[in-house]
Amino acid sequence: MTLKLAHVSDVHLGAKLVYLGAKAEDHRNNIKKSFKNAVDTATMRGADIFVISGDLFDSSFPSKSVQIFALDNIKRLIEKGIYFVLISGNHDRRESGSVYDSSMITEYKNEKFRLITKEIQEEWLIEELGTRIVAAGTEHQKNKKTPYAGLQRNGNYKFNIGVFHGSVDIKGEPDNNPIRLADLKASKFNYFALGDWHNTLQAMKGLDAWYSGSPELIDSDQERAGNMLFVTLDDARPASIEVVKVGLKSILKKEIDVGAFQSFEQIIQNLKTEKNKDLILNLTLKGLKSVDFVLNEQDIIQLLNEDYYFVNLKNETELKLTEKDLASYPQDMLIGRYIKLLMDQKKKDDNEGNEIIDEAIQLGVALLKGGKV
Amino acid sequence: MTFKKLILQNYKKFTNKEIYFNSGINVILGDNEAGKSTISEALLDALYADPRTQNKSVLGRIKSWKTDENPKIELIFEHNANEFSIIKDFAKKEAKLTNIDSGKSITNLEDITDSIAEVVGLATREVYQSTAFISHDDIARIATTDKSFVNALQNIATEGPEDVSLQGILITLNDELKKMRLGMDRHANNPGPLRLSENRIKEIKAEILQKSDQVKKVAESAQLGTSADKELAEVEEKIKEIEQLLENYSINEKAQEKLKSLDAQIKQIEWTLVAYEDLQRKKTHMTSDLEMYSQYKKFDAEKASLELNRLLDLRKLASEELNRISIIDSKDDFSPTKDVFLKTLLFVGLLAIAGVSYLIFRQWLLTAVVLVLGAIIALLFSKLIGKSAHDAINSQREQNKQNVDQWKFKIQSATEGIKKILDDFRVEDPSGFFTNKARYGLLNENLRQVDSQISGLLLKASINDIKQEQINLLQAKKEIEINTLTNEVKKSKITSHEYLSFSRELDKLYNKQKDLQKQLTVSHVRVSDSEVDTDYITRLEEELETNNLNLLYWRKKEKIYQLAYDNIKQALKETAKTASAVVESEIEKDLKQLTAGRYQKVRMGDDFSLTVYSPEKESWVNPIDNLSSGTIDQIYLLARLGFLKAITKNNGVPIICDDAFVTFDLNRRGELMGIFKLLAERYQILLFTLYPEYEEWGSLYKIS
Repeated sequence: MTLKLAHVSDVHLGAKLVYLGAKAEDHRNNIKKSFKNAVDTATMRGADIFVISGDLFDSSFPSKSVQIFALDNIKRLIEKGIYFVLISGNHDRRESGSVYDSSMITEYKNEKFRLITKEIQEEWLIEELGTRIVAAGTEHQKNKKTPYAGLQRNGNYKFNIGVFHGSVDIKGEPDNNPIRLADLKASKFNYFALGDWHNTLQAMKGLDAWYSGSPELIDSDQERAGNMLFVTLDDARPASIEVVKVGLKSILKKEIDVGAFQSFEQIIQNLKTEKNKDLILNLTLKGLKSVDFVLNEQDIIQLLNEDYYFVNLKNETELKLTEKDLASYPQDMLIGRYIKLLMDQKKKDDNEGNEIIDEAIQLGVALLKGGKV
Repeated sequence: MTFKKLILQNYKKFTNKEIYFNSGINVILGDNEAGKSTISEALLDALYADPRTQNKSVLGRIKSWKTDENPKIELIFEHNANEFSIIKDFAKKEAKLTNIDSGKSITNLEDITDSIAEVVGLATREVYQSTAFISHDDIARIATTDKSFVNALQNIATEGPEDVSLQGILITLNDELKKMRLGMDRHANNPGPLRLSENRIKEIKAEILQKSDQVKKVAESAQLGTSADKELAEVEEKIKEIEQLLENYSINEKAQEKLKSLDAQIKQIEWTLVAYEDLQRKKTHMTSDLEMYSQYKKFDAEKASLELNRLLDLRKLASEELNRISIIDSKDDFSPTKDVFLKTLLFVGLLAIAGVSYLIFRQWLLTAVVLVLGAIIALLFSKLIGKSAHDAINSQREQNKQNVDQWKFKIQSATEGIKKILDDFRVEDPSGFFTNKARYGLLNENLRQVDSQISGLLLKASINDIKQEQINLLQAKKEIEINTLTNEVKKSKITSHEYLSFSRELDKLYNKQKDLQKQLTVSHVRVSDSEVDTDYITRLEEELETNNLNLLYWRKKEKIYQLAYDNIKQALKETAKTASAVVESEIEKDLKQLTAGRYQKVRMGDDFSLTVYSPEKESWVNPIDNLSSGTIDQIYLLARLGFLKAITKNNGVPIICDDAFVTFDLNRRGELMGIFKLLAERYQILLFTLYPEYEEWGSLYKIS
C-alpha cells in the first residue's frame, strides 16, 4: 500500500507585496498561478491527499475573489477524489469574523475536506487510505506554547501524518508555534507536513519532516521558494520526497563592488549578462565610489527593468575620498572647501546622514564642475 | 615653474611637434585650426592626464588625426633651478617624471601626480583651468554688468569649466528646492513632489483607515452575526423546550378538563340510567295496577260517570218529589200557620192605620172609626182568601197522585240504569264506581308523569343511544388517558405558578429571539452591504508604501539639495574670505598705476564681489559703475592671479591665455598689455593668439 501526498504551504494568496511596486498585482497573479500549478501537479500525479500546512491566505480576511479562487481549486481536487487537509497558519489564523470563522470556506462541507483551525490536535482518520492525520490550526500571530506535543503513533493506521504550522527548534527557541524536533522524532509518524517557513527545507536530516516552502516566492529573500513536495509513503522508510518546482519567479542575488568598475555603464553591462524575465534581481551595490562616480539608483533600475522581472536595489556604496582625493580638491578652491564642509558634517553626523552627505557632496561637485541637476 | 619645451607625438593634429617656451611673455601665433588650443590642452595633459585611461571621451579628444598611434606628450620644465621632463605615453600607458639635472625618474603615476601637484601648486587640471588658464570666455563673461563681473570673479574659485556660474548653480538648486516644496507652505495648484506624496499618503491612509474600519465593522458584524446566530440557536432551543413544557401543560390541563367533563357526562349518563330504571320499574307497577281497572279503560268511564250522576240525581229528585207529594197529601186544608200569619198581618195593618189616623186627626174617635172600618174590610178579605185556598188544595191532590206514579217509574228506571253501570264497572255502589274511577285516573296520570319523566330524562334519545353514548364517553376517556396523557406530558407536569413563570420566561425569550433575529438581519445586511474588497486595501497599502518610499526619496533629495545649496554658499563665502587678503593685496599693487592714482584700495566681499575706494567720492564704489571696461578686465586678471597666488602660495604657475582677448579693441588691448608686462615679471605667460597684433608682446612662436 502506497500513499501519495501533495504537500503545499504558505501560499499567501492575496499577499501584500510592497517591495514589488508596480509589479505587485502581477505577482499576486503569479502566486495564484503557482498554486494552481501545484493543484494540477497533484491531480496529474494522482495524489491521494493534498495538504496545506497553513497560510493558504495572506491574511485572515482575504477578499471574496481570493476565497472563490481557493475554493475552486479545493473543489477541483476533491472532485478528482483527492482528500484535502487545510490548516490555518499564523497569517490566516482563525479570528472572529475571519475566513476560517465564517465564510464560503467554512460553509463548504465534504467528507473529503477537512478544515482545522483550532490550536488543539485534531485527528482525521481516513480508513480508505489507512491513514491517520493529526493536525492543529493557528489562532494567534505568535504562540509560544506548542500545540504539537504528546504525539503518538497509532498502530491501527499504516500512515500517521502530522500537519503543523510553526517553527522548528533548529536553532534555539523558536518564536512561533514552537515545534520540538524531539516530539516529532519520538512520535514515529511517517511524515510531518510543516508550514511557516517559505523556503523548502528538511527540518532535520533523517527525519521525514519537511517545510514545503511557498509555491511562489513571497518575499525577496526567499531563494528556495517556488516549490511543492510530492511525498510517497510506503513500507520503506524514509519517505520518498520529491521537490517539484511550481513557482514562476526566482531570486537572483547579486552583490556588486562598484570599486571594481570603471564606469556606471560597465556595471549595467555586467548585470545584463544574467538577464532573465523570470528573475527578481536583488542587487546590492557595495564598495567605495569616487566623488565623480554618481550612481543614480532610479537610472539603474530603469536600465535593468526590461531585463529582469523586477529589480530590488540596495545601495550600500560609500563615497571614497582618500587624502589624495582631498588633496586634488584644494580647500582654497570652492569644490575643495565644499567637500571639506560636508566632510566635517559627516564626521559629526551619525551614519544615518552619511549617505545624504555623500550624495550632497557628489551633487555639489558635479554642479561645480559644470554638471546639470 | 617655467615651461621650456613641449614635444607632441601623434597628439591630435601633430604627428611630431616641438614647441619651445621662454620665460616672460610667449606669444604663440597661429591661424584658426593651427593647433593653438591643442598645444594649450597638451600642456595640461602633460601635467595631469592619466596615460592609462580608458575614458573614451579623453582618448577621443587626444587621439591622432593622422595615425592610429596613441599619443605621447613630453613637457620639459624648470622648477627651482632644476630641469624636469614629464612624459605621458598613451601608447605604452606609461608616465615618467625625470629630474634631468639629477637624472632621477619616477614612473608611478600617483607619485608623479603628487609631485606635479606640488610643483605646480594646483592639484588638478580643473584647478589649473579655473585659475591659471585664461580663456576667451573668461574675459568675455565679465561683460559690463555687476552680476556678470561677480560671476566671473566667483568662477575663478571653481574648478569646473568656464561656463559654470555659481549663482546659476545656487539658483538652480534653489529652484529645484522650490519645485520640490511647492505647496508645502501654502496652497499650490500644481504642488511639488513632496506635497504630492504627502497628500497622496494622507489620502491613502484615510482611505485605508476607512476601509479597515469597514473591514473591522464587517468582521464585528460577522462576529455579531455568528454570536447572535449561536445565541439565537440557544434561545430557540430554550423556547422549544419551554413551549413543549407549556404545551404539555396545556395538553394536560385540557385533557384533565376533558376527563372531568367526560366523567361528569358519564356520571350523568349513569344517573340517567339509574333514574330510567326506577321510572321503568314504577311504570311496570303502574301498568300492573292499571290492569285492575281495565273496565275503566274498556268502557267510557267519563260517560258512565256522567250517566251515573244523572241517574242518581234523577232518582234523588224523584224520591224527593214523592216525599213532597206525600207530605202535601197528608195535610187536609190550608195550614193554620198560614192563616194565623195572615190574621196577624191584618191586625198589625189595622194598628198601623189606627196610629196614622191618630197622628193625622189627633182624635181618638176618628181613629176608632177608621179602626173599625179597617177591621170590617179585613175580615171580609180573610173570608175571601180562605175559600180559594181550599179549592186549590183539592186540585193539587189530584195532580199529586198522577205525579207520584210518574216519579216512581222514574225512580225505578234510574235504579236499573245505575245497576247496569255498576255492573259494567264491577262495583257494588256508585261510591265504589267513583272511587275506582278516581284511582284509575290517578294511575293514568301517574303513568303519564312517569312517561313524561322518562322522555324528559332521555331527551328524545333512545336508551340505546344513551348507552352507546356512555360507551363512547368511556372510550374517549380511555383514549385521553392513553394517547394524550403520555408519559412525557405527565412528566412535564408543572404547577400553574410554574406555568405562569415559564410563560413570562417564554415572552422574554420571544423578545430576545426577535432582537437576535434583528441583530442577525442587521449583521447580514451590514456584511453584504459593506463588504470590502480586501484586495483593494492590499493595493492601497502597497501604494502607500510606494508613496512612503517616494516621499522618503524626495525628502532625501530635498536634504541633499539643501545641503548642496547651503554648503556651496558657505564654501563660496569661506573661499572668498580666505583668498580676499591676497587678492586685495595683488590688485592694490597695480591698481594705482592702472587707474592713474584714482583708486588705490580694493575690497573683496563674501561673494567675491569687488569694491574700490574712491578718494574723490570718499566712498567704496562698484568698479563696474566707475571704471572703464579695460580697467575692469585688468582688475579681473589681477583678482584672478591674486586668487592663483593665494592658492598656490606664490609658486609662479605659467599662465596660459587662449585667445583670451580676441575681441578686444585697440585701447582695451593696450591697457591689457600694460598689465601683462607687469605680470610677466612674476609669471611665465603663454599667450595663444590668432592676431599678429600681439607679436610684439613677447617671444614669438608661430605655428602653421
